[in-house]
Amino acid sequence: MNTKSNRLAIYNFKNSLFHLGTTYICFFAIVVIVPTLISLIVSSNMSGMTWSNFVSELLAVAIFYTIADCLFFNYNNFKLTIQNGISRRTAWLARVKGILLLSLPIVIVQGIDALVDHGSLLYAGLFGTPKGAEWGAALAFDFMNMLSLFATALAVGYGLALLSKRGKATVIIGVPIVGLILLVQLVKAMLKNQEAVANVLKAIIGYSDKTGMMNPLNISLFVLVWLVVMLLLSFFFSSKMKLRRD
Amino acid sequence: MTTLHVNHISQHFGKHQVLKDVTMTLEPQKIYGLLGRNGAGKSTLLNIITNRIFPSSGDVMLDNTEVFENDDCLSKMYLMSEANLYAERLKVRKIFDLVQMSYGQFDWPLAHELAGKFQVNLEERFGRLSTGYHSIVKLIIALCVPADYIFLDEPVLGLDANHRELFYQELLAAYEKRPRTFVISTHLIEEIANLVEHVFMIDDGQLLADEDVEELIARSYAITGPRPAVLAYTEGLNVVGEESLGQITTNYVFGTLDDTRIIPDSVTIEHLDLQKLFVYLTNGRHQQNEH
Repeated sequence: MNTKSNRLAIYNFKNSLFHLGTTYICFFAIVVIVPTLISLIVSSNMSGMTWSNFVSELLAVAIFYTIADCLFFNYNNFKLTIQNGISRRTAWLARVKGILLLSLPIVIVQGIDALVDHGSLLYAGLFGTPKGAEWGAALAFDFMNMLSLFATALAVGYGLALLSKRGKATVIIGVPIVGLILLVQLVKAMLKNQEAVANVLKAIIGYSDKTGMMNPLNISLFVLVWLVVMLLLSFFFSSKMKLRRD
Repeated sequence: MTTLHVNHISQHFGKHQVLKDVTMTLEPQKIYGLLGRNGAGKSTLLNIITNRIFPSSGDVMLDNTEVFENDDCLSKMYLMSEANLYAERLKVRKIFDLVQMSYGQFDWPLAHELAGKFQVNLEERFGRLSTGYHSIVKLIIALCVPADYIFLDEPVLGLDANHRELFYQELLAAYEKRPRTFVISTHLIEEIANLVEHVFMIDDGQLLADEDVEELIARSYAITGPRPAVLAYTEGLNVVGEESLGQITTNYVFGTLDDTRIIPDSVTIEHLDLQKLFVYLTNGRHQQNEH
């Protein structure tokens, strides 16, 4: 199973890279080429070309692309794998490995970008004065954050993939409406119980009133548990996938 | 050599029962026909065997191993179905690559040979091909994939007569070169009658027949002659159909004839072909159900 899932993971990774490349070309055309051309036509200079924060923008595109991949391509992936004699379990494992492979360069480039721009890594302050080990911990935390974001998208995506077209449309329209109502109720409840909510949040991030410091272990554990729950949820949904007639 | 056992498979879609306690055994290196009318449950059965959908009850075993979610078992099977599960943007060559990656091997020389014979452009995108060429690409894969059990669901959908003839020839050639089990599900019974050794007939979700073609044909008769003589001779036999033209009547009988009865001179007895037998067996059941 491992050999098969590794082969499939590499296939998924290459596929994602190809699509990400295509997305970058579109992004480059929309963000750089078109404004530059308009600028040239209107004012005969190239002020439309904005190179500032270009790496950050590329990273944002990569993250959004990966989220979209996790959300919308699970059923297509299932069709392809089940046609080729691959079980749901192996296909899911390969998908997770593929996303892991894709997250790694995103996190590394993000780290380098943060170092170049700010002289420090994202979340480095959370782990004390940045030295060798702290930087490693900050990078690992960033990686875990990224993975939990993608795992959440994957769980939602596999859940959506179980629905028919009509069911999907109902969920896509219905969930934001219900979500908005729930959010309003949640905010109301939070305002009523501000202290309790603050205590829960403090416990999650490991904030101490005495020292005024955060304990990175708390938030790391929270992210890790979230990651595991989302992965289990996505595995559960993927194991229920079957060919639809729509 | 592995044997595939389909054990007591039933399937419901809501209140509608599509398959009712279907049990069958597929032996290695044999060519089977899976026959049934529209909506009989053939495609559902093939989808269950190849783990694409879940049965309501029952299981599928390859020898003593359950096929469900088992990669080793699944890599011994290939289902060429009506549904196009390959991505439309993929080029035919890329699809073949993907099959090789998934199954570990792929008969590229045969794939090139068949692509030449069927005039398939390997650089063409799958989505740009016609219905017939979709079938051809999937048939090429079915013949080149290293699986032991190949299921062909409506394999000649959209193929012209020349391509159908070519496919049957290539199927036999591939079978001779590397014998494996083929299960052909089709409505064009006449075309596969000479290819298949054994047939499964499904009607209304139930297995109606599970027999070698020769034995099945040997037990089916068309008894033709003047109506009174035919009715007298076939009285009490399993008459599955009747046709009349003027004074001449033909009764179709499935089962053994009564050897003690004397065949009248005016009556002729012939064996039915597979298609006629299928039509009368399934029509007979539907007429019984209607009454």
